[in-house]
Amino acid sequence: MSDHPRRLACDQLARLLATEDGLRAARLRQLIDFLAPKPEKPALPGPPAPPLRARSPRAPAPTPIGPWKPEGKGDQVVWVRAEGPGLGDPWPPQPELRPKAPGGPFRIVLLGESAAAGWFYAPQMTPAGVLQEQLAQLTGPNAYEVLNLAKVDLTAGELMALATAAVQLRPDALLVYAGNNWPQRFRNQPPPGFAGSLEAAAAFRADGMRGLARLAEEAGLRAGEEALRRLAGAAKEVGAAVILVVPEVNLGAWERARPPVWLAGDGCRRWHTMHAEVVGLLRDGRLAETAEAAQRMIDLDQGLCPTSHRLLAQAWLGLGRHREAAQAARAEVDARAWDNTPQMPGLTSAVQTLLRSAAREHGFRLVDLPEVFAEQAEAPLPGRRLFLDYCHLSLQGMKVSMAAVAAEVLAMSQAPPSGAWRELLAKVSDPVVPAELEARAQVMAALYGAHWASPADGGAPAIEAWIDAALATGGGARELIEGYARSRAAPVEVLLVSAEQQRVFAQPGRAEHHIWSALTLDPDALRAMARAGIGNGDPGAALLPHHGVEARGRVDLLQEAHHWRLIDQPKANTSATDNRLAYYPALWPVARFCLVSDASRDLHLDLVARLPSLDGPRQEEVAVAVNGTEVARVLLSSRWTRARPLLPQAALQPGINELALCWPLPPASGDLALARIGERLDLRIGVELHPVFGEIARLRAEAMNES
Amino acid sequence: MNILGLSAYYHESACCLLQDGRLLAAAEEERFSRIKHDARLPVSAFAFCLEAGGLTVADLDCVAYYESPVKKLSRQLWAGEPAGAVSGQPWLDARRPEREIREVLGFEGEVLCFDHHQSHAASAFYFSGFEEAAVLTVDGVGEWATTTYGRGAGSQLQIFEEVEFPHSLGLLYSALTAYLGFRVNDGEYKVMGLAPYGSPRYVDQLRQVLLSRPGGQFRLDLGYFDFLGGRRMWSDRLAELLKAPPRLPEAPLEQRHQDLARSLQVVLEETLLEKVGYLRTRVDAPNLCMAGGVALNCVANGRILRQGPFERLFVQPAAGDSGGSLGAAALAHAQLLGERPDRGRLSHAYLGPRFGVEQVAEQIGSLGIPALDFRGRETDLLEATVDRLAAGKVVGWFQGAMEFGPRALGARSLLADPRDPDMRERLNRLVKKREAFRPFAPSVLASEAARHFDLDHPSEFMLETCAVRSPLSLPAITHVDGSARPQTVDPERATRYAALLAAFHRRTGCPLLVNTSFNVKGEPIVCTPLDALTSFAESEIDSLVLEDFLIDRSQLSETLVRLLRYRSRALFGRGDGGISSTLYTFV
Repeated sequence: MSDHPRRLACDQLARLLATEDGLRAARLRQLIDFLAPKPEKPALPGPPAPPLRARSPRAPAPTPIGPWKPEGKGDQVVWVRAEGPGLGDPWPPQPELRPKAPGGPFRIVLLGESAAAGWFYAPQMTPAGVLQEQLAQLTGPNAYEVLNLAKVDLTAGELMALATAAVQLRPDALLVYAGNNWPQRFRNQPPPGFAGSLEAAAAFRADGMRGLARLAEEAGLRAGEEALRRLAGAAKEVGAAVILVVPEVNLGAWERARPPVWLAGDGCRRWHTMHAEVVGLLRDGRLAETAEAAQRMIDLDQGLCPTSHRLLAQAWLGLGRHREAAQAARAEVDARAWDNTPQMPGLTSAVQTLLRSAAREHGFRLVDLPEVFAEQAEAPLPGRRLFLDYCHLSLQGMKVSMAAVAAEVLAMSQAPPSGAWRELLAKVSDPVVPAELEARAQVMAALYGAHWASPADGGAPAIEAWIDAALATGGGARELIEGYARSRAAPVEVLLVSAEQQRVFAQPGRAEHHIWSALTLDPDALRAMARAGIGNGDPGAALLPHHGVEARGRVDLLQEAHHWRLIDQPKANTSATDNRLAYYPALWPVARFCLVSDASRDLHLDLVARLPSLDGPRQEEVAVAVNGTEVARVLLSSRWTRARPLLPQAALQPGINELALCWPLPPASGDLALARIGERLDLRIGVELHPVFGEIARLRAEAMNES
Repeated sequence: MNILGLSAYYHESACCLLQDGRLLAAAEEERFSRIKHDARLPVSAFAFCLEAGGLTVADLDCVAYYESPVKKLSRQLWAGEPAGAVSGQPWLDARRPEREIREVLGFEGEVLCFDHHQSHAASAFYFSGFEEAAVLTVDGVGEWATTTYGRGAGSQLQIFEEVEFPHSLGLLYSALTAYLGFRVNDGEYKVMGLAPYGSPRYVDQLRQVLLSRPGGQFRLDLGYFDFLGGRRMWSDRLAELLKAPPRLPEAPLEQRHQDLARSLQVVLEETLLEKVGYLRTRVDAPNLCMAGGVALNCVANGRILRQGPFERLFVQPAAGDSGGSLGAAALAHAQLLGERPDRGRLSHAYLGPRFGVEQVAEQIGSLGIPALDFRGRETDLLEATVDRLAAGKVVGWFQGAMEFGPRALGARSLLADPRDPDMRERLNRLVKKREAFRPFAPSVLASEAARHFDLDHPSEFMLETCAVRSPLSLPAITHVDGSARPQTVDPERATRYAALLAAFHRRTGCPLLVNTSFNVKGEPIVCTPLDALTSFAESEIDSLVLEDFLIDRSQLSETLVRLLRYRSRALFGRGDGGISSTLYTFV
């Protein structure tokens, strides 16, 4: 061919690029191009550019506000939802929005996330509704109106758009209660885009894992900062005031455990050894030693692992050192934010600081919930009195937070009776909801905790309290809980759409979809229900026909629904593009699965697994335990190995069984692992930041033939 | 010997399992991920193939990859950096396929890579059942080759000539597909379906674009194209030549669009005929095997068989890139064992997941659907299905193992009465939700095919067109030019489907049914019973036959429809990797 020499050169270059050094060279070349100064475009002579915001004699055309589209009705523009709320609808259900009428009540438009939306109580009870009611109680019925535009899942970017659109409703004040969704995690799989990967590689080279954590934090802050700047501009344009709520999170009754990322040398081995010891110390009530050891864990993991902070917080709480406990609990939230898989919203201290400084910079009024809640919590740390879960408010939480907002509103509008929020709080009544709604919220709080709270000691989260509370509330709680238990009995393939699910979702727009649609058999929740006497004290028995090993002959325990906790699922709460491994990676020393059995005979486990190794072959034993009792040990190596340990009938119990694989500690390969992570970031290849204890290609429980 | 064939990273990724030379399983990743044309590493298809073989990754002897990453990179370098490649992670990373086979699939054994067109050629020849054959592969591009000529004999397969990038019939077709406002790698079928509506008035211009050369060679005049590092396929010069602006996506289709489609099809066919003629002079065998994306052009295939110099033609059902996995696995088998894999002809494409009757019964029961249960009463099931078809209903037909390749062949099909003059419009508008001009294909009892079509041989895979010669009026499956793309159904390969056709024949005197793929626009063909129920819920299919169960639309509750839609969006949403695309999202 005419360009034969060019073709040969391409062949040769491709062969070189196919080596690691070659790819590194290519990536550097791309980097050089990327970093090259971009020539500025010369200014061309011509007419001056129009002003950015040219004044038009006519008002700009109205734009949609979220799902509400503008429509002309007579001489007025109203915003109408084209479709009614569907399942999982993130917006408030009001069909129509109207601009404030001249001379109408003082209008407050609430923008925010699920906490602002009143998650678990919405749409019947919301912070907007509570605020409206409180203002009415304080000033009479028609002086204020609160418009609810809070959207579940609202991001910083969406807040920008929503704020800009919402001013069309002519608010007197924009009330913004957001920030939980702003922190960003470090996206390691798949690797971030080009610029992001460059930043990641540079940050890691400069500062190791701390660099990656900082990068994630900065990204979240950038998004939040921009949203606040745009919010200020939008409010200014219509002369609306802004009240900024600094959210608070549940520091006392929610845990955010995560294993440490790779640590240098034998750091990971030492950390996990210490972790087991500290959990034991805490259990034994040796609190001073717990605090000391937890601090050593923090020193070891550079403060990047939330688990260590939680242990420290628990020790300080036990020792009565509440201020230190609060600091440690907040550090837990901060440490979880960058390594946030499964992804869990949580307001970091950096975002709180951003909100406070933005209020100063832009002249916003500020409601600082951490300060408010610190006084109102039932315990040293804000917990179950104010929160249903990690950030969503209980009725009391709504009352307290909105009283603080009401104080700002009244002060701002110079309406009597102004005063400190504490005084107003004493004057307003408790929000009241029907028993059915209260029970529903409590059941959801129980299940949410079962799914996502992750105690550092690996035990079941304290969901019994919410179940007991719901049963005490009545309002159909027992039927609701029993329905949920029954819903777990459906075959895995139709778990999310079964007849039981249909019964729950017959009413459109119900918020339960987030919880009822969890692809898990939910053994912790079922056990807690059993203790509360649900399902004749044994809801696990209902699982036997479709999930029982004896009934099925064989059950694949690697199916996600059989992972013990939802939070153990590698794909939990991540997108379809993440974590696409063909095997199960164990990130904790113990991998737990839900095995359903009628305990009528011995079972076999068909196991194919390996022990990852970065530096040469490895061979160690793995313990197999059923319900906490070791029943077998299998010898695994760094290559796939098959084993068929026996699960003796004596170790099984009818219904739910916990099957655990207890892995040996990872090798002391931290230095090598960190070097590899650096290299892969340079090459823009996805990285696993955590040591993997074991990998499982097959895990099946099989019924042995009855003799 | 367990060999896993794998194709990935461009079109539909796929896996197949060759066990001791026997093709045991094959499936495209899109069917599991529910992302149409999913090109990612086929993790789910991999898991399916292992399951089908009763294996784990530890039991595999070899993974055979369908192209050579280094050669492909050479071609990419030659072509220049792709548009937007600066942020494209895979760009320049020739180690990615093997790395991900190791890291994502966990495979520890030998990975063999074969050239893209060699894989295509092997997928056709080794599964053709021919002892000797000429082999033609034609597609957009693999590594360098875009068209190859080869000969197969016994276990030997040799490619003796190739046309190299950028000269490519596939790219020509794709460029015109883009010019006509359809999506590349997706809309080529539409162009083919549009062609019979037009007249070939652009043929002379296109002959200036595609220049024939002696032997197997041809050239594109690159001045008319812009796919070398450009952001679109065609150049402004092409628009000048055609004296017609490109059609914008979703813009109304005009006569000139139809004429251009027809002209393109004519030029493609005449070129293929010419090159097939050349190939016949080089290979002394009456058999021709074809593969590559262009081999899915059933109109051209039909013409090659009717007018070309070969007596027999074999096109394997997944002739596009997904089928490359088959060829790679076969090549690995031949290389490792020195023998040809299974010598029989690939006679069916039912290589995907199947769901047992009791499993389906369990699911339907748990869903609370009051389905009609025909277990143990097949005749009654068929008669009830025929009742609905004869009454003008559209029936979703879900039976046995899913098809491999782009065609539904009676395992995941939508069926209807081909005699109904309104059926095509209804199917396109309400059920498939796609363009009105697109034709539908028929299934016909193999024993009856010759009475209705100009067809003297089996056509199991719907990969060729022929003239309709039926005593019946068959408006729903007869294209505007009097052609059809029939699937001949043999009771030995598709027992229940053949029985349904026979029952419809007995009832109506018509041994044919409209057979189109069981999916709605923008979605892959259904895989699982729940996928079928979801498509059923999303469209206006009247009835659904799931193995031994029959469900009429009225039996689906509104809540179930809502839940199925929600589950589908939540599980298979195409978010940007953020939490919004997940099933169980936070706030």
